[in-house]
Amino acid sequence: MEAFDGPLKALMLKGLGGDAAAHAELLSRMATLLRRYFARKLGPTDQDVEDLVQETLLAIHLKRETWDAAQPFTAWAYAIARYRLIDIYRRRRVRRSEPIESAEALFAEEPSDGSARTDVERLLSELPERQRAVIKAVKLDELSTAEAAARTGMSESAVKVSVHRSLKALMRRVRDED
Amino acid sequence: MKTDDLIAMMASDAKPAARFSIPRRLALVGAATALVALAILVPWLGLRDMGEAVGAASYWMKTMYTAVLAVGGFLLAERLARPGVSSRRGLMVAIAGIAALGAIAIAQLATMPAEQVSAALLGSTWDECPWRISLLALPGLLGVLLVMRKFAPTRPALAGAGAGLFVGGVAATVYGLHCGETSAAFTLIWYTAGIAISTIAGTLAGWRILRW
Repeated sequence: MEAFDGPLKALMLKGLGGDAAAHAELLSRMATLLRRYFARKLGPTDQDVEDLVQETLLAIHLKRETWDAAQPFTAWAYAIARYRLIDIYRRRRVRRSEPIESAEALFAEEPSDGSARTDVERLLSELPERQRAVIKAVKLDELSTAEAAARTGMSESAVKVSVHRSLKALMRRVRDED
Repeated sequence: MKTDDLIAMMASDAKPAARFSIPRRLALVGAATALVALAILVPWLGLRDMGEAVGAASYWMKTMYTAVLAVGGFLLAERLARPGVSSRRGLMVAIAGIAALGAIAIAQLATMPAEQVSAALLGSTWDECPWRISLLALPGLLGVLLVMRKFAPTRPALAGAGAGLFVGGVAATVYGLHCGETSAAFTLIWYTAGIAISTIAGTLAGWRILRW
């Protein structure tokens, strides 16, 4: 577990300091781990796996201030993943208890592959036009926020605020899906 | 949307962490709770003779008790706001506070003449005290739940209970500026009842609105 925790913690600390590359690296590594974890819990072909991965990543991102640097990163991330998993059981109206395992459950090595579903894309399509334009420019066309700002005629800080708002809106919509 | 795109989007949203940490924000909401409760208490019920109060051991006993419960609630809420941590410490503080006051109450009751026991248990305001404390806690409860919503409680009902205990303890401490009751047993029963109402309200509200 320490083998996972050290590097992830270091990336998290850098990300909290504003290092975008470290933050992206952390989220990619977590995406791989989460995909395996949810696939093991729901079955590798379950359609909700990739949605859960994205929801959990959103929570890791938007709620990152709730991580206490004195706490193992792995325990924090596992608790969030487990919370999302229980939530999907609830949304499916399946009565199931999910035992608390050690955080290793999230970091166990097991090969699995997930394919993206389009739920988040649909949610995205419901966002206000301006936010959507920014996201499209920043993500899909791989522009920097500065370039996206130039293209959409917004200031760079407005673009950043817009991205942040969109992420929060995505998370709220996940919430309201019930 | 592909997960990779989402990650790129979140990476561009990386920025230095929020200025106010969780304990700091909870402390601020606790201070606001106290001020609002005071602003309600003064015109509504008025303050007791504070010169007399600060010289009375009973005043400090009550204040210590309610403050300890507030601290226990603060610690609970601060821990339960975060995924994957233990919240035992806050619970221990609250239980220790109740046990300590319980010991004082028993010692007082055991050594007083039998005809004074009912006055020690009921005082003259037993039927008003719990409601007043819970009313004073109400604005703070709304505030603390709104703050907690920004965090990530994975046990929403418990987190709401911690938040309710926190603001209930703060409100009861403020109520002590008015209340002239002196017995430990009165405090143990009726102050605790008022704080319990706030805690239960926090539990129910947390269960509903602290999910994410």
